[in-house]
This record gives sequence, structure tokens and C-alpha cells, in this order.
Amino acid sequence: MGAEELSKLEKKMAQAVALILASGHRLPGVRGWELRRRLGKNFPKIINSLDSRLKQIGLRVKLVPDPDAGPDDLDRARFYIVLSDPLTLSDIQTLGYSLDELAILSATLAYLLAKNGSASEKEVVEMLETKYPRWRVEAALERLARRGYLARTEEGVVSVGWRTLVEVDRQELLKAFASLSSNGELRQAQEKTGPEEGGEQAS
Amino acid sequence: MSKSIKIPREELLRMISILGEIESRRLDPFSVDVSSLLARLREIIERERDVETITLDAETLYRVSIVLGLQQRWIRERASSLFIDAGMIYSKILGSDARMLVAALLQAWRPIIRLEQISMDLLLRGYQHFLSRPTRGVAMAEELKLAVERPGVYTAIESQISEELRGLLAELASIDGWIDYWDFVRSRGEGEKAARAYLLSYLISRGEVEVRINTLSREIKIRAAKAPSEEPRTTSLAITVGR
Repeated sequence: MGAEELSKLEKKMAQAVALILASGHRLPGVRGWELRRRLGKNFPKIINSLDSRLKQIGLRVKLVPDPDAGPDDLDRARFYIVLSDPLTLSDIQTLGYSLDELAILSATLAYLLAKNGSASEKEVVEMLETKYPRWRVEAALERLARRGYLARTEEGVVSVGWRTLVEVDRQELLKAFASLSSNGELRQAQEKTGPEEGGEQAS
Repeated sequence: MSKSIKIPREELLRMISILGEIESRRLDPFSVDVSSLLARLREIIERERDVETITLDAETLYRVSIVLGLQQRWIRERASSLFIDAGMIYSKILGSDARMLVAALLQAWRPIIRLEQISMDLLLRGYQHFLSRPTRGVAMAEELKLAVERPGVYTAIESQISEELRGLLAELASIDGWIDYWDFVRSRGEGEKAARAYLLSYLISRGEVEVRINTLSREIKIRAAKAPSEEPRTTSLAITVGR
């Protein structure tokens, strides 16, 4: 690749990053057709190059197909930039969540995913009440729903929200839960996060 | 006869309701036995062939097809969730503390990265949009400014308003005693109500019209003053004239 082509590619990648990171929409990410309009018809190649570059700094481009379109419909798919490696317990201090909120999110998502994505809110609250008082559970569910991790309906059903579909690997989460031993140890997690990382209250 | 029609009707309505609940409340689609339900539907349609039963039967079949679709999706998603069952997850949650639950989430969680602050690109887009907006009100203000600046125009406008004020005061003076404010303002029709109220406000401020307000009944009475009051105005009166 010549110097001129390389410089053009660099410029296009910078445009793609700006579009994806600062899309200006209410929701993060950008649709494929918006990338096509700004970057041209070769935008998938530019996104691939960007993905390789981002991996060097612990990020990656994530493509989420539109649920109403096929997986090959890039125009309607949404592109995000996400972390490529798992966070550690000490990292969560910067995320703006308390350890308890994340524990509620973890338990709720695992439970919902094991039930194919949704369950009655009453059932979920009762499950969480085994660990936390009701006021705390309801406040956390409200906040998580506002952030897009959960969706609630008027019929009293809680389901996984759009952000969960983008950010959480369903199989990975269920595998992590399956590997929790009966006394609550996660061997794999301990190996990666190290012992006693993070405080009881993260934020 | 009517009883035999009523029973299948109620049964079909119950089936529709159960199937609808499964769809709307996202309940386990396998909680209904589709094959026995279809067998029962066949029995009903073979026995009753009136229009109402056929319509309800078609509606039930439609709901069954939705539940079958949900069953297919359920199996697909169960396979992708490694057939880990909610009961097992529940027991894991019970046996784990908050740190371990979070550690499990962190294995699977890759948060979205997003810039929350304004960028140069967004600023430029905003500026372009601002420039593309049509200009509001400046043309009219310019026209007025030009008109007022023309020699004699301002004097003409002032004398016209003074004439109208004199006319309004004379009209009020011709009325013997107090008159209701609203009756007077509306006396030339709704079209002139706002203009008359506006002019009247000047006469009241200048002390050429007296005002009496009954705070209990909220009545406002006015009359032309015999002589303009020299007393300084210590109160103000806000009246909503409306459109």
C-alpha cells in the first residue's frame, strides 16, 4: 500500500471512529448506512482495519445485526466500539456503579438468559430479595432499565435490554455462572482478577 | 341449542386468552399442550359450524401458530444458553456473594465506549444547521424601522392613537355612571375587544378613567373621570383579555 493510500485509509479510520464514538444520537453506535454514506461503499474494509488498530489498545468494533433484518444486512446493522478484554473488579470503580448494583445486574441477567431472555418482574424481584432489601432491588432495576440493560413492560415482564444484547456475551455469562462452585467461588475469575481486588463498594 | 353453542364459544375464548397471555407475558410456550389443543379444536369445528365458532376457531389457530413460533425460538435460545436452567442459576446466586456475582458478569461484559462530550464534528454540524435556518423577524423589524424613520410617519401614528383614545374616552363619558369593564370592552364585538382593552389601559394609567374592583365578585367597573386624577399610580391591574 502506497503512502498516499495509507494516509487516505488513516483519514477514513479517523472519520469512522468519530462517527461511532460521537454519533450524536440518543443511543450510542452508528448504523451501517451512515458509515456507507460517509466512508463510501468500501466501509466494511475500513471498519476491519479500524478493528485491527483498536485491538492494539484493548478495544474492538462490535457489529450487532438488526433483529428485524438478516445478519448479512450491514446497512441496518449497528456498529459500536466496545472493550475487547474483560474488566477486573478494580476497574469497576471508574464505571459509576456500586458493587451491589453490578451484582444485581449479574444475577438478573443470568436468570433472564437462562429463561430465554425474560421473566415476570415479581419473580425476579423475589429472587433478588434473597440477597438485598426490596427498596434496593427496585432502585437498581429502575436504574438498569434506564441504562438499557433491562426492559420492563406494563404487563410486569422484565427482559434483557438493548445494551445487554450489545455488551454481554450470553454464553460467556452462563458459562461463568455454571463454573461458580457451590460455595460461591469462580475459579476462572479469580485467576484473571486476582485475589481481593476491588472494595466492597466500588463507586 | 343456544347452550351447546355457548360452551364451545367460551372454551375457544379461554384458549385465545391463554395463548395471548403466553405471547404478551412471554411465558413458557411449552406450558400449553398444543397437540391436545388442536385435537379439541378439531372436535369443536366438526360439531359446530356456525359463523361465530368458525371465526373464533380461526383466531385460536392463529394464536396457536404464534405459540409454535415462540416454541421454535425458545428451543433455539435454550440451545444457545447451553441448556443451563434457571433453577441452577438460582442456586448459584443463592450460594454466591456480591463479589463473585460481579466477577461472573465481568467475564462476559464488554461495555460500549462512547464520547459524551461535544466534538468538533458535532460543533460544525450544529453550526451548519444554524446557518441553514431561515432568519426570523428581522425583515419585519427592518420595515418598521424604515417606516418610523420616514419624516412625519411617527407624528401621524401618534395623532391617530391620540384620536382613538379621545374617541374611547368620549364614548365612556357618554355612559351615565359605572359600567362593567367587559361589557364596555366587548361592546363593538370580539374583533375589537383586544384593541379597546389596550387603549383603555392607557386611559386608566393616565387617570382619565376610574376603576372600581369588587374582589369578592371579581367585577370590574369603570367610568370616565370628571377630571384626570393627579394622584400617583400605586397599584397595577393585570387583566387577561385572551384571543
